[in-house]
Amino acid sequence: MRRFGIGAVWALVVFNLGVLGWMGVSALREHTAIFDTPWGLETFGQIENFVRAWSESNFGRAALNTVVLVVAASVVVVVVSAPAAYALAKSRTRLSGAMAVFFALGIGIPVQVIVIPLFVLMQDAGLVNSLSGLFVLYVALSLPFTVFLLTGFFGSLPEEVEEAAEIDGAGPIRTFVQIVLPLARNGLVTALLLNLIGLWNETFIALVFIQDSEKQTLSLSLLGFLQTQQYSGSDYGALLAGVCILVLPMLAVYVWLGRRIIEGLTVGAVK
Amino acid sequence: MFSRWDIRITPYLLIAPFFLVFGVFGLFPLLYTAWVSLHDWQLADGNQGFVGFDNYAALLADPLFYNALFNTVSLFLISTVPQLLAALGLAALLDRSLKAKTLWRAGILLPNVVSVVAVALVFTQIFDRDFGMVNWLLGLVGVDRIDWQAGVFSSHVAVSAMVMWRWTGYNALLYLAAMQSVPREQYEAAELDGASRWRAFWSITVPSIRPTILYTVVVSTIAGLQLFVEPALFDPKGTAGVGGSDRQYQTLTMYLYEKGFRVFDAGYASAIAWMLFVVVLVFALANFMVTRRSVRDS
Repeated sequence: MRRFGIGAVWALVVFNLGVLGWMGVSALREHTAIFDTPWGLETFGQIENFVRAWSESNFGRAALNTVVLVVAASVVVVVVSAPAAYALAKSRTRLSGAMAVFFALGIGIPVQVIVIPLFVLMQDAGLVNSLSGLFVLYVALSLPFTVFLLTGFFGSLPEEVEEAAEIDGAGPIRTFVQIVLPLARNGLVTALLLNLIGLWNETFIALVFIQDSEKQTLSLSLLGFLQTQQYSGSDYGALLAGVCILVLPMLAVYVWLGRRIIEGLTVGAVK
Repeated sequence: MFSRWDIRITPYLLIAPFFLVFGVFGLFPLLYTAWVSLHDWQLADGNQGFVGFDNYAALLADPLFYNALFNTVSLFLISTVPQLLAALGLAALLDRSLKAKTLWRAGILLPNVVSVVAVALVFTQIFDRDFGMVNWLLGLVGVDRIDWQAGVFSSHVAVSAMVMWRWTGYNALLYLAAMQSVPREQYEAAELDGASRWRAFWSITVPSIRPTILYTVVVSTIAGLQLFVEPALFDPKGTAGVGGSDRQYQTLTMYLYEKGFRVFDAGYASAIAWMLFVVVLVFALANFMVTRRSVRDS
């Protein structure tokens, strides 16, 4: 049983790495070779795929857009969420019960359901087909989950710290900024990382709200690249190179800070 | 006096920004969707007048709506049920048998950081009729090539594979975290009483992680009923397609996108959106109840 268990987990991890490995290898191979020998290594080393993907699908501009948008939105989400989550975690009034329902609603309202009125609203505000509009949406729609996650973190901080601060005469806001926030640093970093990854990979909202190619995010550029290949004949090597450009930055973040991400995912949900 | 006022008012001040943003971008749009759905509303030209429940009446007589509804529910069932069971098994294996835990966890969560677009493109190739690996493997054991995109069931299996690949490890980690807080003495006691591992798993482990199971069931239900990118990119035409030549894997979200942002009929699309919301609510609630009843408290 034990041996079988280890085997099963091993197989899964190998499979996961295999899918990504295949993606990376094929991204450096020539189109017809990928189809003739999907597992082979013939024509390996085609850096041109990356060059082609980068230049033909406007990836440079899209990469810049994505980095600025995603970093800014993630930071703002955490800044707005942290105080709300703290208040929720620490206040034991009727307020917190009502708020909990509110968050459940927030997490439960699918974006797809409200996308039409959002579009109408953003159109009236002149924020359709604009990166600032996308920024506003990303912040707004990431809030419920982030508040939910951070409430778990703040709830796990010891009460004594705040009591001590109160005895020393610090007001609630000062306690929060100078004492609680530094203590919750790990939680804040995790929330930031999860938002970075989630928003980096976000596709649906961007697809609906952005039309111009110079305002595209990486996901959209990749979709556009896929679409042009419908007409100009497909080049699977270049397409997979495009996929790699989208995926590799987040894989790098994951390799670097994976432990934080794993901890963060499990803290909010277990309560 | 001032400091008391300060203490009572501060929580509200801290929550206010969230409240404001959520009200504007969450609650209000939900009600506004209902409002738009009662009008002849074109995305470019705006409101063309009140039509009552005409959009809903048309929707309930629309075979394409039922097709999308069927696909949505089918995809949800095929992707979510095996996914959560596999995650549960995986977590049990990790909980009791492995060392070097961080490494395993990292390997299992890996697919979750990969963009859905990337997953969809790679898996579409894996399920390719002529050159895909799945058919190649099936060929080794003598099964004929399957045109995965062509059939209803086969396309649903392929799309579900993408969803499962991204989310099984994530759910397994949630289960694992909950399992690790189960006191080991309970297992030792069960073992002394002669209970098998299988028995201990179902009567100790599963009841102990009940809140986490409920959470994952509800969250997976909500997510599983809104699939868009995976099925859309499985269509060779991508987001310009309709989910296969006969719409055999067009979900409700894809139909909503088609009506709202390609035909620009915002009123009709809003009616689809509300039906989707009702479906999500009903399924989330039903699954919550069923799970709560079948997984008994310890």
